[in-house]
Amino acid sequence: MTIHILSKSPQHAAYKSCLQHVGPQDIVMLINDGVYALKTTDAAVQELLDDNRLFALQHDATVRGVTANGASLIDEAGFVALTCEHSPSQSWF
Amino acid sequence: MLFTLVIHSGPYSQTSSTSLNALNFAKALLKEGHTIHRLFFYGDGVFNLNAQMVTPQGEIDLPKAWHTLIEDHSIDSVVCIAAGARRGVLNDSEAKRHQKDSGNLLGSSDLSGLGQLIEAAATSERVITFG
Repeated sequence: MTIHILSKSPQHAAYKSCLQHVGPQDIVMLINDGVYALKTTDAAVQELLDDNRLFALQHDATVRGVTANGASLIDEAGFVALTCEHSPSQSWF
Repeated sequence: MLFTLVIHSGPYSQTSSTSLNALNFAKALLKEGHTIHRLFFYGDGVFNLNAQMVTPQGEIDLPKAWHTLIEDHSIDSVVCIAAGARRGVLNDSEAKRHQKDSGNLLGSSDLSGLGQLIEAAATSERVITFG
């Protein structure tokens, strides 16, 4: 189970690439401008939300005024725990 | 668990750069009892160890914060030598070799090659990239 780490907003090519490569068992961690994914209505994002496979860094969401919208907001310790539970990791930027 | 972090992002901004994300991740994993095998600064990430960088008042001084973390925990920190040379991040011996006035690499890190990244990836249980 791969953890995909997305740090770019939906306007960026990395966003689309990331969502195209997420497997059925994979999770997505949104950091930095990646948290703007929570403001989209994209089907791929909705699917991740429905399966509880979408996570976002609480701090990065808060400073951008982005609300959870159903995703799990976690702190850095939670992020570390996710990388321990999932391998390999793939960063999109 | 044994981690290696690869940092591609420069310290230009606290929001659009993931340098601060990487720094906070490094602090959190140490706090949780994990270990850092190596930090590898690549591409624009080499600027994180530029001793000449001046951070605007009121912002987090990322080069200083990285330097302090590396020193406090005796972390193996490598700055890619080719990426550093291209961007003017040199230690004293590289500066001399390239006939430049002085080095500007923060002393807590070493200049080395991609072999150090390969070794780190082979040795570590987790490699996390911040771009």
